[in-house]
Amino acid sequence: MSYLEIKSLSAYYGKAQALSDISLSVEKGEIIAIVGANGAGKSTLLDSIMGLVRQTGQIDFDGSVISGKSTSNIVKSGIGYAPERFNLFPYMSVKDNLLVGAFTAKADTAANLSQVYSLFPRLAERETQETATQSGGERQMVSLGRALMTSPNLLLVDEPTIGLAPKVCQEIAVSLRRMRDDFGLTVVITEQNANFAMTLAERIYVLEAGKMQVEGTVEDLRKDNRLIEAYFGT
Amino acid sequence: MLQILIQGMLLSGLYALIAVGFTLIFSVGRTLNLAYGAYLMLGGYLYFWASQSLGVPKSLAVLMAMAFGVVLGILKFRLIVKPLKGDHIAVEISTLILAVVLQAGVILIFGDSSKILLPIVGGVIYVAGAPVTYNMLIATLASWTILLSLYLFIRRTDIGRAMQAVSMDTKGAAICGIEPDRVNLITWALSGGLGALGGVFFASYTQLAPSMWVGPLIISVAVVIVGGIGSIIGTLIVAHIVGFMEVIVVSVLAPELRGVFTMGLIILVLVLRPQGLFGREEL
Amino acid sequence: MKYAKGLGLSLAVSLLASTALAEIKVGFIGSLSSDTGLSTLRGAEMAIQELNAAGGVLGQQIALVTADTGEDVTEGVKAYEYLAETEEVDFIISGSIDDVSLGWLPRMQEYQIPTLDTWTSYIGIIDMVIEDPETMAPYFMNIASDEALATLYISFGADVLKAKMGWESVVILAEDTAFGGAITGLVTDALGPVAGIEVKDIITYDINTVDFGPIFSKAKATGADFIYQVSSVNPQVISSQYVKLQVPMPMTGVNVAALGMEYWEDTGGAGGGISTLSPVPSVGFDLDPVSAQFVADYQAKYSTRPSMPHFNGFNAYHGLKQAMAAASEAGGFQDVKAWNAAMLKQDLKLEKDGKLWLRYGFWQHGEVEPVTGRTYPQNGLFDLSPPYEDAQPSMVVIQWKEDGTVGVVYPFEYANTELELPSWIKN
Repeated sequence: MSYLEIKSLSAYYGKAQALSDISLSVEKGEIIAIVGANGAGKSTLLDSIMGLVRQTGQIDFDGSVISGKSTSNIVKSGIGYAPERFNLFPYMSVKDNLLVGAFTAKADTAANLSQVYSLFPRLAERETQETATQSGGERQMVSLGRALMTSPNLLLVDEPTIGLAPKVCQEIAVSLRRMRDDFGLTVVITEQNANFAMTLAERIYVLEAGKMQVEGTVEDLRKDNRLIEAYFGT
Repeated sequence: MLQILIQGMLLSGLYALIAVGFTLIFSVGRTLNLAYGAYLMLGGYLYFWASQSLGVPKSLAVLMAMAFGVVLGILKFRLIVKPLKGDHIAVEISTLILAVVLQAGVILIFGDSSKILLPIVGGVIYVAGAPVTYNMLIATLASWTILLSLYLFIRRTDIGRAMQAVSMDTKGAAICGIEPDRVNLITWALSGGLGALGGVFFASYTQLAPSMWVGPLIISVAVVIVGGIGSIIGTLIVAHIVGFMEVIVVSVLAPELRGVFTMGLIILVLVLRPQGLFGREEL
Repeated sequence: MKYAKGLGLSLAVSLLASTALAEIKVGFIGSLSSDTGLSTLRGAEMAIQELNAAGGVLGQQIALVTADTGEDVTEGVKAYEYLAETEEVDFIISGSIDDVSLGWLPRMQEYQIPTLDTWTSYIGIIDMVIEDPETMAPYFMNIASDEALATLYISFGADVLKAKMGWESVVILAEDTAFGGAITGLVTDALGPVAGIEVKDIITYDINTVDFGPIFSKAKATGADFIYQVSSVNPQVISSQYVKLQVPMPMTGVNVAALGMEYWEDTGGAGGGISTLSPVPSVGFDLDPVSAQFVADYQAKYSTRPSMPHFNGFNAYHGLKQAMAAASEAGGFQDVKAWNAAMLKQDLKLEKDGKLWLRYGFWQHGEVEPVTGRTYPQNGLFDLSPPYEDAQPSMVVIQWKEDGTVGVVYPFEYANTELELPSWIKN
């Protein structure tokens, strides 16, 4: 069984079906990317893993079923989440945002905090600043840092580069790779930017209109020009 | 002048104490808890029953009133707020109905004639021609102590930070492993306890009457509207604006215009600055 | 055929029922949860119990139905309509407060049901009786109307406040209500010219005032000798804060909350020193043997508050008996004119130690009261000048002492204690 295994997942917002019959698997230590256009259902997929959306199907993580559990228990089982719009606490300082992240992993607070500051030294410099007054790139760092504070083994990152300058995108890519290489995390990102996804991930899933269309390694996809044109437009 | 300063400080301290529990719910749960005044009323009546009818020591009676407020807050969250999930209008209407039902209940048990609470601490001193009862002084000091402790609790503890987090971004809090329902429950319990305590002091200032829930509710709504926020510091500041304005109107202008000026301030702020004087959503 | 048979049967049953239930139906209108309302209700219940035990009236038993007003004007109108239309009562006894009585009064004029008010004292209603005696024929009020209350109260100002206490100026603290305005008007008009007390200032306050500290400071700054409070809504707040703040100025006036025995318990003792005008008989008022027996029977029968009926409980007890006696004479309540004439003749004199103490009767049409120089037709009898040989005074002034006892301080003929200053002023 894979580290994260999603079987026949369908998700709903009210009566509208946002995902249908999605299956996906992630091995331990992988970085994978879920690629798709706006509205394809990428964020819904990550929200479903976190138990934030009404769903059917089954999700297993690290050998146990997590679908149907509360978000709080899913976080405790070792999944960290940096959502697309960050969902930060705007009138709290950087440090307080990070400390809220430590809510279920209090024992690791000091260690996690120094890890986050080593990854993002800028956060250490600005730990008293309210996040409402920060730039997009800084907020992305706080969001990733907050997810790390939950002591995760699997990190879900929704659209890490959206709206960020190319230079900042590179910084983020570097830090995501370090999380896997140095801290041993498994990473799942979603992306609209196919190039970014292909430079970072080992495997890619393509999501379109709530359905999984294509799945393969980056090498496989690079060989298939048709696919690249159809889904990535390059 | 000094007299106005003293009397203003005393009244404002009381108002801050009354409003803080209401502010808490407004900022964490985004709900105008219109039954908040009923917590004050029931807290006051429980204190009266325990200390003046049963003869329980006053400090214990205050604790009993607070415990009762906590239970009421929990019951209300469990039985009304949670089942109605985020439908703010439905919650507000049902809390208002609840307040009226509780009023009828109080009439049934205690009758509708008003009652006077003995001061929690008796005695009076005159400072610069202004009478200062020890009871008011204690209420003001208690109010400051409670607000300061609450501020530290919210800022420095995990639960406090979780409350702030839920108030600012529920989803963000959830993905940090916080259960918003649990935090809401704690907030309602805390608000109930603070309301009951505010009620004991308010009633010991004024009187116990089945209709007494309306006045403090108006003060609380005024503080939230004028402040525009759920901030504790903001509550303290706005409570002082309302309290001082009232003392100045009564002392310098005309006592019968007391309520008019508070209402006028609410309307003025709503028209000129609908987001409130401080206008941001924090705790 | 079957249908018709059934109809005939049910008709027979209902005829039978109405014969068996032939009775006089009395309706109570008032609040069922206030001390005021309960006083009237219980006074009426006791009178009915006694009358029924003695064989009823006109060979019929008396039944009582109630309609709750909750001291709300709209509810009061609905309650009156309920008694008139659904219950079809013969007579109504009212423990309503002034505003509520004014609300249902047009209904009474319409239905023409004999009605007795035991608490409402609004002089405007007596003026209506004078102007339109025909439509107002069913209406009687057996508490002295408020003009009579105020008149005697001014005498208290002259005889006690000025002559005995030596106070020459007053500051009035009046609530911002119609009642406050009316009483303040009556008092200010007469205090100066009649009692020789100068009104320094009138401070009107909002009824929801939380903190009276600034108001008392303002009153003190006027330099007046005493405070006169006029308070019917939330009167406990101002009087208890007066005690708690130990305001260094004497205070007297109208405090509706202090009229019941529960005042001491309700204020937790924080009401000592407060004096107020009260209709008679009041708490602290010495009772004649008949009234004392009524109170003893009352206390044997009822265990919940009010532990002693307010003045309107006495009014209801005697008034209901008088209404039934008038009905006996008039052959029932249907002929309102005949009942009115019989009611006007009612006259119950209660003596104490060989002196007329309380009198339950009514002013006649055209009968002029010598002090005020006006008439009070269908209003309960009162006497405004010593030695009160025609009837009891319209009011007494009572004072709650700091030890929890209460007594009458004025008029002197009825007094059993003297007006005292609160200890913090005396010392």
